[in-house]
Amino acid sequence: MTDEEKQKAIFNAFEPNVPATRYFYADCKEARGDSNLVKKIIKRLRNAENTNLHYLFTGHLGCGKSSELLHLAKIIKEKTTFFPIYIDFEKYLDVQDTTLEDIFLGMISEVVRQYKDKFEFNFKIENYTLFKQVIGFFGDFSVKGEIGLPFDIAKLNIEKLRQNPNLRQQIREAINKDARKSLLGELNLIIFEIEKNLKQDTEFTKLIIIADSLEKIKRFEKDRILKESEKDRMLKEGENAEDETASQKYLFLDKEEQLAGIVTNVIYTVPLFLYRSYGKQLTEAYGKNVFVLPMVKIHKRGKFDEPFEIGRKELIEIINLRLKNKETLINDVFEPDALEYLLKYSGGHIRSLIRFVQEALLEVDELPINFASARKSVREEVRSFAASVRENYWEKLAKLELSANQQIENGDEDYSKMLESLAILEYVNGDDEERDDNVWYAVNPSIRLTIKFQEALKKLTPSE
Amino acid sequence: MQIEPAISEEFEQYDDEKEFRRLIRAVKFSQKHFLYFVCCNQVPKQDALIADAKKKLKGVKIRVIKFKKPITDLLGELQKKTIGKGCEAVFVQGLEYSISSDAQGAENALIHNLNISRDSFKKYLSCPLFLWLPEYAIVKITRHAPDFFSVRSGTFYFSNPPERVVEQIFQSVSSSYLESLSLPLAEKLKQIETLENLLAEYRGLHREKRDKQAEIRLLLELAGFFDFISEYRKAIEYYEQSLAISSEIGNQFSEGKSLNGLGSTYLNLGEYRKAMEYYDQALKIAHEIGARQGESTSLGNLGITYFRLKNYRKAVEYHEQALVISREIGNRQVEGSNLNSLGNAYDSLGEYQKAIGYHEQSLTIAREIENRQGEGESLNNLGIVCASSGEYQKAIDYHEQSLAISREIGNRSGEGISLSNLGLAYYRLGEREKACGLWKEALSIFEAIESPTANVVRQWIKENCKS
Repeated sequence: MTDEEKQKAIFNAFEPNVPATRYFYADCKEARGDSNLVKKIIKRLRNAENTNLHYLFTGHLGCGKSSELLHLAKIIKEKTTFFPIYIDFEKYLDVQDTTLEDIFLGMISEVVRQYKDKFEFNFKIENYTLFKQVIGFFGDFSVKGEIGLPFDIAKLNIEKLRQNPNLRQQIREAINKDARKSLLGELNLIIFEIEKNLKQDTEFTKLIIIADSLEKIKRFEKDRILKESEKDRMLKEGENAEDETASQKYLFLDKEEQLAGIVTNVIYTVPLFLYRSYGKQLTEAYGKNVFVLPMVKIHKRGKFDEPFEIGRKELIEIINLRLKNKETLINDVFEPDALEYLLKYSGGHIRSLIRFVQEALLEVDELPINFASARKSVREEVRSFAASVRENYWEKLAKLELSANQQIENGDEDYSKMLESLAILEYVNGDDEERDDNVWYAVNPSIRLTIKFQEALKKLTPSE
Repeated sequence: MQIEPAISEEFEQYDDEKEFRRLIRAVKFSQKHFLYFVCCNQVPKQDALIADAKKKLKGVKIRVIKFKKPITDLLGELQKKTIGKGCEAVFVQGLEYSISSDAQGAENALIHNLNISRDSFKKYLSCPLFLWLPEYAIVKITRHAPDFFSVRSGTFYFSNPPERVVEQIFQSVSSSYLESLSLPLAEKLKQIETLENLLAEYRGLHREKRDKQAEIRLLLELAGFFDFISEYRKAIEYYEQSLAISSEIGNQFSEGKSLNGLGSTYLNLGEYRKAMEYYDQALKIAHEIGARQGESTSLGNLGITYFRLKNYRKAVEYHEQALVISREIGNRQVEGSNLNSLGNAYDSLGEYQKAIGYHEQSLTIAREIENRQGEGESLNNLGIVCASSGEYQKAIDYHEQSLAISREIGNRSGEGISLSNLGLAYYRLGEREKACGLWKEALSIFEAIESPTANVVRQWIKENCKS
C-alpha cells in the first residue's frame, strides 16, 4: 500500500454513521463504570426464566448503544437459552408520526422473519387477520406453498411509506376498524406459537425482543395527544423538543401497561433525557430494570486534566481495532500528542472520536497526524457547539463545571436538552464506591474551548 | 481547574486553500457513503468552488444538484431524480430555500426528514454526500436535527469575502416601486432570485455584521415582488418577518409598511376581516408618526376592503380622504390608484359617467408616470363601466388591452380578471362558448393563486357552461 492508499483505507474504516460490527466492538466495561450491562442483563435474564421482564436501555446519542445492543444479542444467543430478536425500529417507524400499532407491527414481522431465518416454522398467516390485512397494503407478495412467508423486511419498511404517505393512514384505519381484534393480541399469539416451537425444536426456550431506536421517536400518537386538551395543542405548536419529551413520556409512561402487555422479554431503548427527567416514574413502572450506558470515562471526576487510564486504553483499543489489516500501527498514524488531544477532547464519546480521526486524516498530506491537525478537527466541533448552544445554557454549563460533585439539577429540562445535544456528558464511576452518587456529569470538552463558556465561567468565579 | 484558551476567535481565520484541499481529499478518500457539510454563504462562491473541484477531480463522477425551490424530503428528491447511481460524489446546493432563517425551525419539514432518514441515506447512496449551505442553515440543522448532524464525517468552512452584502442589499432595493411593478414577468422572477440569494447571504453573516434596516428593506422588497406575481403565501411570509423585525427594533415606519402589505395580501386572498385589522393598525401607526403617505395608503386600502364588502358609500368616503392626502403630498401613483378605486365605487353605485371620469383621469396619470400595472387596471375598469352601460364591443376592446399588459408584466391576478371580464362581455353579446373558454382559463389562474374570485368564476361556469 502506498501512503495515500493507507490513509484512504484508514479513513474508510472510521465510519461515524454505523454501529460497530463485531470486528470493531470493544466492550469498554470498566471505563463505563462498574456497569457491565451485558453481564448484568444476562444475569437478570437467567434469574427470570419463568417471568417476562421489560427492560429499559438508555444512553447518549452516539455513545455506542446500538453497538452494545448488537453485542448483547450475540452474547444472549451464545450463552443463554433466550433467542434474541434485535429490531432497529428506525427501519419501521416514521419517528415524526408513530403509534403503538406501528411498533407491534414491526415486532410481529421481525419476530417471524428472524425466527424463520434460523428455524423451520409454519407461519399460518390466516390466523392473524389484522396482520394479514396490513401486509396486504404492501402489495406484491407471493405465497410460496403452504409455509411461504409472504413478505420480507423491505416491504414493510419506511421507504415504502415514504413513497405513499396515505399508506400509513390506510393501515391505521384498517387496524382501528375492528375493535375486537388487536395487534397486541396477534403479537402475543405469534410469540406464544414461536416460544412453543422454540421449546420443542431448538436449544432455546424463550424469546427476548431488543427494540432499538425507540428513543428516536419524536412524535407519538400525535392526534391523541392533540385532542386531550388545549394545553397539548399548544404543545404541538410550540417547540418540537417539548413535543418530543411529551411524546416519549406518553409512550413509556402512559402506555406502559400496553408495552408491558407483551408476553415475553423486551428491552426498550429510551432517550437519556427522558430518564433524567422522569427517572423516578420510570423506575416505578419498570422496576430495577433500567440500564444506562454511560460515556467511556476518559478523565477522573471533576479533574479534566487527570486522564482515567482504563478509559484511555479502551479508546485506544477501539482505534486499534479499526486500524487492523491496514499495514500500520497506531504510532504511525498519530503523533503521540495528537492522539492524546483527540482522546481527551472526545470526552469518551465514541462517535466524536471516530469523526475526529476522519477529519484529521483529511488535514494531513501524509501520516502521521500531527498535533495541529488534531486540534483543527476538534475546532470544527467547538465551532458547531459555539453556534448551536442556546444563550441561556452557558451559565448552566459553567455552573456544572464549578459544581462540587459534578452534578446537575435533577429534572431540570435545560440540562435534559443539553444531555440530548451532547453539550453535557454522563459518566458512571466504578472506582470510588464510597459515594452513592455514582453518576456524574461533565461539560463536553469541546465546549470548554468556546469563548462563551469561558466568559460564563469567569462571571461565576469571584475575582481576586 | 486549568482550562486551555478558547479557540473561538480562530473561527474567523479562514484558509480557503487548505479547506479546498481537504474537500478534494474527502471526495478522493470516501469509498462509501459519508456525510459532509460545506459551509459557504455565497452561492456564486459555491459555484466557483464546485467548478474548481470538478476541474481538480477530473475523471471523478460528481453529480451536482441545485434546488431552486423549497423541498421537504431530500432523500426522496434524490431518489426521484435517481441521483447517486453511478456517481462518486453528490453535491447538493440550494437547501437554504427549504430552511427558513426565522426563529422557528423546529417544525421545518426538511430538517425533520433529514433527522429521520439518516440511516436511509446510507442505504440509498454508496458515495459521499456534500451539503453546501450557508452557516445559519447549518446551525439550524445542528440544533434541530442532531441525529443527522451527529453522523457527519466533517464540515468545511469557507470564508466570506469582505462584507458587501449589506451594501448590495441597499443597492438592489433602491429601484422604485413603480419600476418593479411594471417589470416583465421574467425580470421579476430574476429579481426575486437575486433578492433571495442576498437574503441567504445576509443571514449567513455574523451577528455583529448585520444591519436590520437592510434586512427589513430586503424583506419588504421580496414580499412586494411576490405580491406582484400573486404568490400571496410567500408575500405574507416575508411581510411577517419584516413586521417582526420592525417592531423589534422599533421602526414604526417599516412596521406600518409591513402591516399595509399584510392587509393587501389578505385582501387578495379574500380574508377581509384580517385585512381590515392590519389596515387599521397601519393607519394608527401612520397617524402616530405623522406618516402622510402611509396614512393615505391605509385609507385607500380600507376603501378597497369596503368596496369588496359591497359597502360602496363607505368605500367612496375612504377613497376621497386618501385622494386628498395623495394629492397633497404629490404621490401621483397613489393618486391614480385612488381615482381608479373611486371610479369602481361609482360604477357599482350606477353612476357611470362619474365612474368613467375617474378612470380616465387615472389612465392619464398611469401613462404619464409609466405605471404599467396602473394602466392595465384603469383600462380594465373602463371596460367594466362600458359593459355596465351596455357598450360591450367597447368593453372588449378595453379588456383586451388590459389583458395584454397584465401578461406582459406577469400580473397573474390582473390577467385572470381581464379574462373573466372579457368572457362576461362576450356572454352579454350571446357568445356563450367563447365566454366559457375565457372563464375556464381565468379559473385556472385564480385557483393557482388562491384567489377568492375563483368561486365567482366557478359559479358562472357552473350556471352557464356545458361541462
